[in-house]
Amino acid sequence: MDTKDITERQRVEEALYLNELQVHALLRLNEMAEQPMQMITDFALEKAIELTRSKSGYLAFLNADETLLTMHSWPKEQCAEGPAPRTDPVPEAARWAEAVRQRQPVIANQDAPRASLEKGAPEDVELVRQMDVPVFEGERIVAVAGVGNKGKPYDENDVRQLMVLMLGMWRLVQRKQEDDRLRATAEALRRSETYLAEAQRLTHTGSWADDGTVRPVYWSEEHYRIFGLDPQQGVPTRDQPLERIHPDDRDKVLRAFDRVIHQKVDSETEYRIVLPDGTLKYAQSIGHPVLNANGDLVEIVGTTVDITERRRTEEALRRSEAYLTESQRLTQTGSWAGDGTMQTAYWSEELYRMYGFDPQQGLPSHDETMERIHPEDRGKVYQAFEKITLQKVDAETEYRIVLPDGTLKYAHGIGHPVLDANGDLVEIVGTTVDITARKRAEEERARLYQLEADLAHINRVSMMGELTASIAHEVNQPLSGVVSNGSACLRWLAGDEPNLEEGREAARRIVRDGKRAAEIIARIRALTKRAAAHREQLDLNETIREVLPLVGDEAKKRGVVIRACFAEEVLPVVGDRVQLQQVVLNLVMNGLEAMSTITDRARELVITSRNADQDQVEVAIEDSGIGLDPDESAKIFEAFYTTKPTGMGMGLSICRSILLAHGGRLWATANDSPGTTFHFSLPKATEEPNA
Amino acid sequence: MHNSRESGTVIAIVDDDPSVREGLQTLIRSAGWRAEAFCSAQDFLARRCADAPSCLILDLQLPGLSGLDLQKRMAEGNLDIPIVFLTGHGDIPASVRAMKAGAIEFLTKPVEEEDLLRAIQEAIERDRRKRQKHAEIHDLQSRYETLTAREREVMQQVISGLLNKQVAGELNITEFTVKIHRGHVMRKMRADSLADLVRMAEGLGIRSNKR
Repeated sequence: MDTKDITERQRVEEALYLNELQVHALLRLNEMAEQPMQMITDFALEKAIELTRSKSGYLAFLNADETLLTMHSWPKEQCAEGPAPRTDPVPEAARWAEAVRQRQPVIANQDAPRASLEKGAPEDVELVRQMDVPVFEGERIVAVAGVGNKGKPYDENDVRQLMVLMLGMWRLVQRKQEDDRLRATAEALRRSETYLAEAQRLTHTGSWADDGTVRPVYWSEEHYRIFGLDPQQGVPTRDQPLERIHPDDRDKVLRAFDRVIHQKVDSETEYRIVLPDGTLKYAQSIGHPVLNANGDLVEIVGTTVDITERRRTEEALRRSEAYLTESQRLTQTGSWAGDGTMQTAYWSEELYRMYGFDPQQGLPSHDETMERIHPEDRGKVYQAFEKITLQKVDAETEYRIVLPDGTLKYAHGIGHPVLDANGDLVEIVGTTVDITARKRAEEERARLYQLEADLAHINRVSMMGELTASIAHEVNQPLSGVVSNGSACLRWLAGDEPNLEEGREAARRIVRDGKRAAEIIARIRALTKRAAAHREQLDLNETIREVLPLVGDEAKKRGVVIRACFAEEVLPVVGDRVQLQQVVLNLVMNGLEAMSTITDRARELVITSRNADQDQVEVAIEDSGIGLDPDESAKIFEAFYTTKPTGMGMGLSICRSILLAHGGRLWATANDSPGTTFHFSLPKATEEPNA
Repeated sequence: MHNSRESGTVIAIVDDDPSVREGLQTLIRSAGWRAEAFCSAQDFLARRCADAPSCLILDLQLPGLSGLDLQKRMAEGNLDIPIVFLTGHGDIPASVRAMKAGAIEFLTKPVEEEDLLRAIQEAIERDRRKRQKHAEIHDLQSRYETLTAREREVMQQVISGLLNKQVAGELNITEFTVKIHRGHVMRKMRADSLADLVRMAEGLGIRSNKR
């Protein structure tokens, strides 16, 4: 064997060895799919150094636009540990970027050792020979691998070895990246599916797909739940869901499918679901046709919402609205809402009725509404609105509504401003009450009250008329005193030695008597005046005493002695002085009348006052007259009942009304001795009346 | 002016109204008389007063016993006091009754000072005359009481217009004796003439025996 042969053989053997080594390395690489990236690249570099019989090497990745090189693997034992892998821009990088720049493998077999290749890495390695190869992904360079310091110059064989190994490495890296991406996508998908399921559960919305022949191909979890079917049993058959739809609603659902299938339009339907346990659900489904490019139906996708709760809420809302409408109708109360410009946003049914508008015609305009408000009251209504919008406080007003047929209604409106957090007006809500009936009743009551007051006044005036002679006498008495005292006074002061002391005394009596006359006149004026009731705290003794003089002469003329037996102190009462005096006068006059035919006994009228109990004052007026027969005593308090030929029959009826209005009572009893006693009682004053 | 009045003269007032009562009282006092006031007829009747008033000012309308009732009572009880009626209202029937029963005046309140004082004055005058007449009669009576029984018989016959002879015949005594008795009568009775004696007899309520 010559050396050439030997060399040749050695060369072939080595090539075989290296091929074996390469195959081995590639197999190992393939098994590393699950290993971390670094371990894969480190392994590939290690094998590249070994296969090219090099002493050193590196592996760097290039970014997508081939501008940056990032060191990824290098022999750790040869290099000082850097803080991070270095990254160099391709144009400026040292020799190690030459393969990228030339876009082909580069071999440098100079035998002269160089200091670490300029800025190239690994910096600490002294390179004598070097080979760099780019790794292509199609047209794009994705990585650069380099080896150096082979014992012999690098050749094409080394280039091939390195390229094959690095391509293997890159395929693996790519596969690994793909796997990671897939895994992440799967994870995201799984998560979004969970979210969707959760969202569907929360919104009671199921989704589904149908093959276009009313045959389910996909049901979401919630959809199973809505229909009460088990997802574990797989996609249901055509009939399974139909069986669960209320028999009366099945046709409706099928018709909806028909529309999607044949008219190829979205279709929506509401139907009932009946579960085997009898549970009734309301569902709403929407179907959407999915068409291919030719416009043919491929499938139907859709959603189903469980609207049971909504239905119940709606039902409850409808019911409460019905109750509200009913109660508004009963109480004749309308409600409304609007913005600050008096533009209405809502009118309740009752409000439409009140204004005579038809709810079917929608909200009446501002002008239409205003037209139905009485012209005189429009200003008031505007003012109330202004108060709400400008002052942002509640406002109320009473106004009249005039319907086109002339019907007049009285309304009481209250408005309330709804403000936001900043205190700005959001809207105005309010109620309007039809107070026509109340107003009429008030008017009627006022009329009756006035009538009663008029009658009472007439009664007083006619009584004063009856007493004219007596009253004239009563005024005449003090006047008589005035005249006599006046004459006397003049006499005392006349002459050479006027008697001043006596004159002064006479003058004093003139003043006293004059006042007395004035007082009587004032009392008469009060009794004949038509005045509104005036409540004050009264001493009944004093109240009665004031009017007795008015009947004094009348009693004398009739030969009647009036005796007053007053309790020393009676509880104070609250009332109208004139009205109570009217009662006393009526009762005294009745008493005098009752005794006018009596000749066989004293004609005596006794007026007593006493505190009946803790909080009642009782006054009794007792006569010795002809008395009442039992039949009469029941009727005497009725209006227009009279036993007197000239009486109106109102006196006692009026007396009783007055006492009732004072919280008191009036009644009559027969005396043991001949005659009748009229009693009245009044409650004690509880507090100072505010005059 | 009041000095001219007889200060002893008492005027009574009966009125239930204090203003009226006190007014009248003052006016009467200012006119120089004494005034006594009562608020009811009963009070007046029950008065304890030695000196009878010369005038009664009486209210027609009184509680209980009225003015007219009191007038009647007084007449029945021989209480002769001139009455001036006062009334609040001009009550004509009542005034007629009062006047018929001898009232001095019937005045309406408020009374004119002059009317009242004139009426009081008139009442006092009448009272004075009445009192004078009473005194005269009293005097005559005391003189008459000095006559013997026979002298009274003679006086009766004489005032009946009988002549002495006829008297003697009636009394069965001598004409001379009649003359003696008649002389005594004329002296004791202080009669100046037969006519004077006749008037005295009238005052004494002695009736002639003419048939």
